[in-house]
Amino acid sequence: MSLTAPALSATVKSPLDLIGKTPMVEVTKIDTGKCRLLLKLESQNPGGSIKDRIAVEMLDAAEREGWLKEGGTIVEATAGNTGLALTLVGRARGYKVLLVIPDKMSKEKIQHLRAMGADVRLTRSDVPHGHPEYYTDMAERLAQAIPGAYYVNQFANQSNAEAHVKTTGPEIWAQTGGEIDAFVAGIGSGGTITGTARFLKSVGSNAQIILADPVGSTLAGIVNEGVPGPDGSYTVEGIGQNFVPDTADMSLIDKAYSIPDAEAIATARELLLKEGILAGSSSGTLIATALRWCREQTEPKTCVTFVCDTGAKYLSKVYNDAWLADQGLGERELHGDLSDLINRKYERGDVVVAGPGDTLDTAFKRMKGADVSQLPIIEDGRLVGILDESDLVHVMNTDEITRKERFAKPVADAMTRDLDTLQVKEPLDALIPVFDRDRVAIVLDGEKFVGLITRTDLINHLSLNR
Amino acid sequence: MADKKNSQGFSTRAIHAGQHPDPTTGAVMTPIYATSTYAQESPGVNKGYEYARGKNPTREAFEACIADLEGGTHGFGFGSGMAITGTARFLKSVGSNAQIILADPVGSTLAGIVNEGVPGPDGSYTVEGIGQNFVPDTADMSLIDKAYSIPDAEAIATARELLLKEGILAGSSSGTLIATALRWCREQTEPKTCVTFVCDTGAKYLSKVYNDAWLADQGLGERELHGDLSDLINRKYERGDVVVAGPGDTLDTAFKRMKGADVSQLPIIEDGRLVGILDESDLVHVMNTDEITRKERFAKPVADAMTRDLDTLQVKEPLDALIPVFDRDRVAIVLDGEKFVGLITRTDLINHLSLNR
Repeated sequence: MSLTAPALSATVKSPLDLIGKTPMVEVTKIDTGKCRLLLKLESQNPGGSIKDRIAVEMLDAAEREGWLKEGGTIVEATAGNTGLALTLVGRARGYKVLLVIPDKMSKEKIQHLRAMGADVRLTRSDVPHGHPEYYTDMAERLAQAIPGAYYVNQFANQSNAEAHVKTTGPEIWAQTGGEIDAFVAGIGSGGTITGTARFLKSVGSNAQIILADPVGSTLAGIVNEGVPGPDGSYTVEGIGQNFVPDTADMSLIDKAYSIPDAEAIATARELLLKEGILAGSSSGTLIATALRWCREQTEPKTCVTFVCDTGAKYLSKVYNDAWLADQGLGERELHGDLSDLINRKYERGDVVVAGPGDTLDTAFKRMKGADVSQLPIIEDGRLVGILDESDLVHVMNTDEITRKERFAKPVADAMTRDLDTLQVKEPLDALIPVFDRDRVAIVLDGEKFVGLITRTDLINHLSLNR
Repeated sequence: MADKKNSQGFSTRAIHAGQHPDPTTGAVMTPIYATSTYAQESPGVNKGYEYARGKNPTREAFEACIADLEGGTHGFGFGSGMAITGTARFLKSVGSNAQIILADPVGSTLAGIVNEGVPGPDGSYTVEGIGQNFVPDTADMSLIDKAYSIPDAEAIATARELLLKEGILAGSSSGTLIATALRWCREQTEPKTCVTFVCDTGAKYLSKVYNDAWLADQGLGERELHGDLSDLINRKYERGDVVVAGPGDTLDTAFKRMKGADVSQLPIIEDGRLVGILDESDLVHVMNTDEITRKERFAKPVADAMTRDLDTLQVKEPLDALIPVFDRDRVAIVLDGEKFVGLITRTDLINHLSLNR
């Protein structure tokens, strides 16, 4: 199709007026068996996720009940999309927002919340539930101590599911014209699946309610076998639990699928590649579940699920091949030699390099941009040296001329030419003496430069293949 | 999509659809016309083409081909400069008197062309996707009434203010556009309406525009220099910017955190006090000397592997104090009295010197 002028909505006064009424799009390029798979793009909410809906409803209820008054403080324990949504809605309505976050959460998330005006308190992530410094316990305590504070607690807040009874469910019903045979969602707090399922049943829908659960979450076991499944760790963010939240009504769920990380991520990537939709990691779990269900059907049916949040937040993870390889989620075979440790190969263009004629300024900017401590120096396709941070410190510390002039010097003046090389066919043990000399291992295949191996690469390799 | 479809296969249509033999040479494929201007028999009389930015045989063939492949009736090809040119042309075609304003980063040469008729000074800037050191074919500069040059710091501050006050997460170029729009709005003496874009989402820029430490690394953060080690610590422990572990955490947890934050060492904190440092050498050492399985090795507590003999510096010491620490291949651990302030690596020193040169 070509560009046409779409139906436009009127200009609004606040991004809060753009929450909900998200579009729905059909999957047409990925194999859905005999079925029609529809995706509701919750990523189009102004906060970037489905959680915007519950923030509005939970704060509306708190204002109505008088729990939250002018000048009050919203308190929640979260680092995910709920924190973003509460900050978006809460700040727009003039409240202070205090979020308690475990210190293992990514810096980007913390920076994002602070940039939106949230007061972020970090707490220990190495203590169990019930410890005063556990993030939910700390949030509850802070809320009690601060006058005018309201502890949202999305895991036990009735308005969480209510938001989906009021908006998500009716929107899906209207957009499908009531033709819906299966509805797929995950459980973080359980509000989405509980509220949407309740609405669908209230209007007489017979749609099957399907839980999409990561392998490592115990919830799928509760649905399918009546007992919690094995507890484990997983990469997908925002769904799966090792307990049943108060807000989740498990009796509404007909069936559950356990999706491994690799399948969820491959599905998110296939969605971007074939359908052009950039989705987050939990959407990968949901859509993988929906695809499994669709392909099992023997008659044409309609299935609805979500793109829960935008994949733009996951570009350096889900959509980064080198990161996937680091996580052991990439597709590759092991050779038992040094090539297994080189996720970034020179011939594939994955290694950041410089030339001997580049200035130290250029070389340093490249090191900083790629977050590496050393650069291979390449001339006419051949490795001629290594420039590392010590070389730069050395140049800057011994020279008498100004810093600007020091940074204008060519790489050739500062690089190390005496290289510690290894052949790609050598065993892993060959790395230890190199690391003991505080060096990085430079790996060649004959004369050809293959890539670098650092201590991190070795530790990572051993931790993934243990 | 239209119902009527070309019956040939996709590959055939991809190569041939929309193309006709060239009338002058008989070439089967439409040639690539790099022409910018077409001759006119007399003013306003031409063979259908005036300037490449308006219409061009190659683009027409491309648009017809795309339309055919998609089963549509028309296709459109766009390039740089089309957003302002196309939108401005439309507004003028419906009789709008809206001023057309160019938002340009300091370092792009375009604002000079609009305001003084000559390209402005060429330089580098951080904002992505806008600004040029040439006029793209697709940009019709004659449509533009005025231009504003916006420095990186103002564009980024505007994007941050937009998120903080309006809750809208925008990319860096949107910062330039909205800073321009705000300047124009504030200059007006009568109530008027101004329209601009949030060009793309800021979610792609979380680790840059919305990250104070990155801004400080770029020299775009707001801070004063003290001439001591505090100038080099962009990530401060008390602000929660430093990734740490506890002595009771497993090596597996510690390593995952190092990897997640892309650092080579972790300060080990117990009850708010620094008790050790765990670095990659410590991990390699544990893994290499033990006979037990790797899984068991990774389950060991950090306390078993961390370095307790710490090379500490006081925050008030001068930069020179760092050199002997780096010469011993160590990271500098900076304290204020007994309190842990942050770490300084070689990169931090080099970065600091390169920004303040």
